[in-house]
This record gives sequence, C-alpha cells and structure tokens, in this order.
Amino acid sequence: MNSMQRVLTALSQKQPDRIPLMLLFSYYGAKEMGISIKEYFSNPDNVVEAQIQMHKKYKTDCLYAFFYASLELEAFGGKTFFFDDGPPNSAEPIIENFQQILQLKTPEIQECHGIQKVLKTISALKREVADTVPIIGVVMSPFSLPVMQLGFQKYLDLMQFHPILWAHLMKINQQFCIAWANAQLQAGATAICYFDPVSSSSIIKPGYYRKTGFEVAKYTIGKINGPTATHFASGRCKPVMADVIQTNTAIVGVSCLEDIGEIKNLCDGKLSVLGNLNGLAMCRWKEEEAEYAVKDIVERAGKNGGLLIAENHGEIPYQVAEKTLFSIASAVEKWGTGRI
Amino acid sequence: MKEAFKSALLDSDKIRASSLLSDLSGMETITNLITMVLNEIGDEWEKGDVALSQIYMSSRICEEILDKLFSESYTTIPNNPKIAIATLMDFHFLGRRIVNSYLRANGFAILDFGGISSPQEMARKAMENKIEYLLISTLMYHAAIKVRELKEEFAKKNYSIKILVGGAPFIFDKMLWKEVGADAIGISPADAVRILQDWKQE
Repeated sequence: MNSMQRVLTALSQKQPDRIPLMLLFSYYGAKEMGISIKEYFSNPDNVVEAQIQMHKKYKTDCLYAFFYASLELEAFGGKTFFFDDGPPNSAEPIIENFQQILQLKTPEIQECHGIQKVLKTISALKREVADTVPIIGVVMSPFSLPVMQLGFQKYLDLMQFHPILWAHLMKINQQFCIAWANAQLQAGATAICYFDPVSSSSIIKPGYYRKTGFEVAKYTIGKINGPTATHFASGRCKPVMADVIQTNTAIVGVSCLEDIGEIKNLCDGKLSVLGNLNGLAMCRWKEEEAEYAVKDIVERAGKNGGLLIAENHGEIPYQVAEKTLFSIASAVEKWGTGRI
Repeated sequence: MKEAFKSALLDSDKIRASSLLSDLSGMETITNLITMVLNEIGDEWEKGDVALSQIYMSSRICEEILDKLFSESYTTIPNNPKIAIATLMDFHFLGRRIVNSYLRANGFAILDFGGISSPQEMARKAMENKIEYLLISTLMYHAAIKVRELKEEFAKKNYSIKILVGGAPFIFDKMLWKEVGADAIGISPADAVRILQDWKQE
C-alpha cells in the first residue's frame, strides 16, 4: 500500500497493511534543513524539500502544509514573532476594543502574502506526490482564531458579555476560514485539519460548546469542500464527542490526557482517531519509551482500522531528537502491522 | 451555601454569587468561603472536571466582589513575602491573570511583571525588586525550558529566590519543572496558593 491507500483504508474502518503514521512536522522542517525558522518559512521551496525529505526519512504517511497559526493573524493585519527553537507565535492582538470588531473586514485570500506561500507549497507538494501521499492543509477554526485576534482573556469576556459582537466576529471568521480551507483544497490538499482548541472541554464547558463552537464548526465544516479532521490541540474532547460526530468531520485529534481507545469507542466507527503521543514528553523519551507509547496506542485503539498515530498537539516540537522519531517509526512498523 | 455559591460561580452568574454572599456577615467568613470555593474549583480543573473559562470567570467574579467589599484594598496576610508573577516569552496572559486573582483572594500581595521577553530581563527585574518568590507562567515548551537560563542568571549573582512554574508545558510533561530547576510546579491556581503558604511556613 502507498500512504494514500493506507490512510484511506484506515479511515474506512478497515485494517491497512500498517497503521498510518502521521508525524505532523511544521517548524521542525527548519531543523531538518539546518536553517533558522524564520528563513525556513520565507520560501515555500524550503518547506516542500523538507516535507518530502522527512516523509521518506521517517516513513510517515502524510505531508503537512501547515506553516504556523499566526499566519492567519497576519492576514488580518497582525504580526508574528519568530524564535530560534520554538513555533512562531502571534504578537499583540489586533483588536484592542470590542467596537473594532464592527470595522473588521474579511481578508481576501489572494491578497495575503503568507497564505499565498502556503498555497504555493501545497501545489508543489501535489506535483511531487500526486495522489500517493495525503497532503494536509490547516485552518484555525473561526471559533478559536479570536484567541489571537483579541487575546484569550478578552475573548472569554467577549463570549460572555457581548454575544452580538461575538456573532459578528464569527461571521467574518467563518467567511475567511471557508475561503482559506477551499483555496488549500483547490491547490491540492487532500484534507483540512480544523484546529479548534477553544472548543475543547479543557477550555469551555460542554454545554457552552453546544451553543457556540459546535454550531460554528457544523456550519463551517459543512461549507468546506473536502474531508476535515477536527483537532483540539491536546485539549480534552471526550465530553463533547457525540456533538463532534454531528459536525460531519472525519477524524478527531485526541489528547494524551485521554484514553484513545475510549474515544475510539465513542466514535463508533463514524470517525477515526488521530493521536495521541505526548509531544512534550517525547522531547526526553528514550527508545524503549517511544516504543512503549506506540504499543500502548495500538493496543488501545488499533483494532479494525480507524486509527492514525500522531503526536497529540498538532506539531512535533523542535526539541524532539531524530533518534526518537526513528524509534517511533520503527515501533509503528513493529506493532502496527499484521494481526492486531 | 457553599455549593450554591460554587454553582453560581461555575455558571458565571455574578448576580447570584453576590446575592448569596450578601446573606453572610463578617469579612473573614466571606473571604474564607471565597478562597475555599475557588480552591475547590481549581482542583476540579486539574482533574478535568471544570473548564478553563469557568476558572477564569469564577476568579474574575470573586475579584470584583472582593474589590467591592474591601474598597479595592484586600486584607493581606501578615509578613507578606515579596512575590512577583510574570509570563515568559508569550502574549497569552490568561494563566497569569487567573493565578494573580487566586493569590489576591487568598490574601497575598503580588507584583505583576506582565509579559517578559527573556530570562535575562526577568532575572534583572526580580533582583531589582528584591523578589523572594517568583511565579512564572508559560504556554510554549521553548519558553518553559528557558527557566533553566533564568536559574543560571540568579546563580551568577548568588541571588536566592524560589521559583514556582506553571502552564501547559509543565502539565503535559510532569518531569519538566525539575529538569529546568524550578522549586515547585503549580498545576492549578489552587496549587500556587498552597505552595506559597507552605513556603511562607518554612
């Protein structure tokens, strides 16, 4: 099986030749290329080369076109901070007072420099692999993007005390998210990862999610012209799984704080699970710990397809050693094949 | 009474919470109830039973109630040590704000350094202000591991200080706080209160 066949088989709840390994490399590519993170993301050619190289090196089953989350803030006029050894991070929020929401305009995808670089990356990756390897595009959910647009504290205040302005902001963000997701699919992405950490039960209570993040996700995912994976960026999702299924997403990203087997049972064959290696603990793992972690996931959720093995937060940290990644890949070969 | 007040906080119902407290008399009774309930909510968040937004709204409501009751002047504990809190290398300030509220509600006076861009700047600020206990909030792993550099800055100057760390990287990697040389980890805001109370007793 090639990677695409392997992933599609798993998603159809059947056992592939090997459980797919979805190591999501974003800024880790800079380490692979031996250049700074800022330089790495300045040119799509760097990302394309690193993605192909790492896919072959670690026998992964996807290419990841994600640059960094604050690229979307840049589209709205915000700025990004780059670090030597960590993910690029959003600078100050762009909305200082709630009334500014009324003046906010939906950015045009064609006019956003950073976004165009991602689209070029996806097109080039598609030329390289055609339909043999899934290419994953990424969007921030309209419901979670405001953490960067306003700051977390202010966003919680907006939701709680200014529902009309919140609804207005959701409308703008939904328009942007749908256009951005569909542009990535048009450029050649196979699926879209819908990052929605604020919807996690770690952040808002399930009852509130049903009235807010769920409705936003249901509408937005419905307008995205391809399959989606909903990712809570290591936040818990068990209390809202029944709702997540109703958003018609295909995959759910599972936190290492939860039992992936239990979440898979809740999915009941309607969704596949992605996860749930602990990316931060991974920074210190020895070979046997990496193997144990993979084996544990396979034992909990490996039967009858429906499992994609990945780190739980959505990107491999810069501090993870290459030998650990090799150990993970070997462990997937060892425990993720044959009769499970 | 306690359960009703807690339920009002978890529902972000400020009016109900304030009204319940108005039935009580005596500052100490009110403060004790607030701290007890906030600490319980903090512990429940640690177990995954309460959401971060509920902790934030609960602490915010209690802060407003205390401000109103005590005319913006909290009763601070006697011999309050010099404590500061800061976010290291990030613009996400929610964690710091919540811990700050919890500590104030528990009678600790605390300096808020805001967001600090490097361990060197943080060390300089702590030493200038003669801080004894420094609370550091981080969101990203690469910032969390910089606490090690901060320790080195203090060691270079032979400056004695206790460091309490918190935030996502320390929650997901339970050994990290030790590895970076922190003196303690606070998983929940209630932990921060207990640790500072213990340190003060030493």
